Amino acid sequence: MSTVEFIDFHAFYGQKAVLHNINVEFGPKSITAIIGPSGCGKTTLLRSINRTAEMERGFNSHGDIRVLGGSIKEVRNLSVLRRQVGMVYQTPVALPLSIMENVLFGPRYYGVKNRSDLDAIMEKCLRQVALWDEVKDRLKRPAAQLSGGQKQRLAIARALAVEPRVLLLDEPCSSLDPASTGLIEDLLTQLAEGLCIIIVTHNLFQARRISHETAFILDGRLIEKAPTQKLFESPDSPKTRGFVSGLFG
Amino acid sequence: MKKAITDLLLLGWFWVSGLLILVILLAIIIYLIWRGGPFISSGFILESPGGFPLGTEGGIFPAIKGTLWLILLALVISIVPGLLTAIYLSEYGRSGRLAEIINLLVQSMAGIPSIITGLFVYALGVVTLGWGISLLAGGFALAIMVFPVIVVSSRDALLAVDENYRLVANSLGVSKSYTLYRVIFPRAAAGITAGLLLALGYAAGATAPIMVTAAAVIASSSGALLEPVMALPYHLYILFNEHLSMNHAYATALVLVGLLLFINILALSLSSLQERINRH
Ligand SMILES: Nc1ncnc2c1ncn2[C@@H]1O[C@H](COP(=O)(O)OP(=O)(O)OP(=O)(O)O)[C@@H](O)[C@H]1O
Ligand SMILES: [Mg+2]
Repeated sequence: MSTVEFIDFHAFYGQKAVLHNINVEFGPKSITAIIGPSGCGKTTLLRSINRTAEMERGFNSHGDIRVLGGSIKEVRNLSVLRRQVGMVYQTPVALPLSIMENVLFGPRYYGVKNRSDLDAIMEKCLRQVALWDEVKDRLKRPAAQLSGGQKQRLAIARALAVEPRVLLLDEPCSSLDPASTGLIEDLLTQLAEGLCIIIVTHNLFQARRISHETAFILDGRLIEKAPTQKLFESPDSPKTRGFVSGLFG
Repeated sequence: MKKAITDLLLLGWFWVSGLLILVILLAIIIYLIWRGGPFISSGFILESPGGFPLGTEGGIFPAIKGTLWLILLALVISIVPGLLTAIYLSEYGRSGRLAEIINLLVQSMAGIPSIITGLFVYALGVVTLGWGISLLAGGFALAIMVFPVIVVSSRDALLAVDENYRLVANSLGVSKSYTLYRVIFPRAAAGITAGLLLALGYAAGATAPIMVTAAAVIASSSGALLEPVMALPYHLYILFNEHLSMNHAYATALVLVGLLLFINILALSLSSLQERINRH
């Protein structure tokens, strides 16, 4: 069963179509990388899933996306959908709160009150992103004091704290150094044991390293989605070949 | 070469203008200190006006109290609608149709001459609703006058908060009101408070709207809503206009300017604090 499924999905900004007839499925417990040139619609595709794309002026869509079997267009309460679908952005964002309150931002809103429950969630999530040992002595300090890489892991912890089933990441490592990137790649690989992860990346090496499957998008069209090794080594489409061959020269 | 000369000329002009403003400001303050300073005493601050004609002796205590009551009441009346409007504009309406209309209305409100506001409140409150010349009517007129100031400054303080916080909170499914309460508002608090203080200063110095709604030549300024009050700018106006006591007029002006400077410096330090917060 697929966790996220696009069905004849089209997206527009005003009159301009940015996604054409997307039909694609993303399975549970796997990492799918989305690659494609700048402006091809990768971010729009991700943000369509949790319906944050519609915050942009002029956005509209037709077709459907199903998350865990339910149509996103039929959800009455967007909170329900956005709880199921966590998202991490390109710029690491620390809310102007303590490290601890960053992680607990979602759980507190959703009504977790018990002190020991909150502590347990916080520790679990910070451990999941391998941040616990680095911050356990300064949980009450402002999160703004963390490094970029730490902030990005904190952002992932914050998303995990509301127990999503899908995690969307939009170029999460593009502003990070190789060491932080490595840390995040490792932790995504671990998280994929329980989550459907979709990651947009400009780094084709990264796509190859961590993803099970890769989807290639060009000018708003899904050209090809295949197991990562196949897509990079023997793609069906010459367009894909052209794009990924940039990898080697 | 020509460009460099233009730049140099412009730069020189900026300096001259800046200096000119500084000189004028200093001159006003120094002049007031020179003329009014010698007459300021604890008695002048803490006593009621006396003598004949009234104001030639005694102090200005009821006028100080009256001005403080007026600006406090103006703030109490305008703060909730002002902040709610600002919150609507920055968090809910954004660039929508209704927000555009509200922005236009607020802008137009800011352009209404304050004497007109005063006359409006006179007709509505003082006469029709039967408040009479009163603290309530004056506070109401000043509230209308500072409302756009509060809306614009709070709106801008809220809009200056990093958009990414809203995006992150939104992606977690967290409601706007919770985000506002936990993140956006605390983050903008210093800037909003600075705006409120500027509005207070603006109200404290305004003469026209209270002249027709609240101010009396002599009153105890007890804080009773339906009684007239004395106010610093009006007292000053009377002293000057009727040539009662130039000495006391200058001393009163000095007190008023001192109050305004105090409020504005407080506002300025808060807004520079806010700038540091925003940069962080
Ligand atoms: N808010 C918006 N309003 C109008 N057009 C937009 C908006 N956001 C994106 N677009 C357009 O939609 C297309 C797809 O944008 P999108 O951000 O999804 O691309 P992307 O693949 O994520 O690019 P990048 O790799 O540079 O991040 C682009 O042509 C872009 O100009
Ligand atoms: Mg993008």
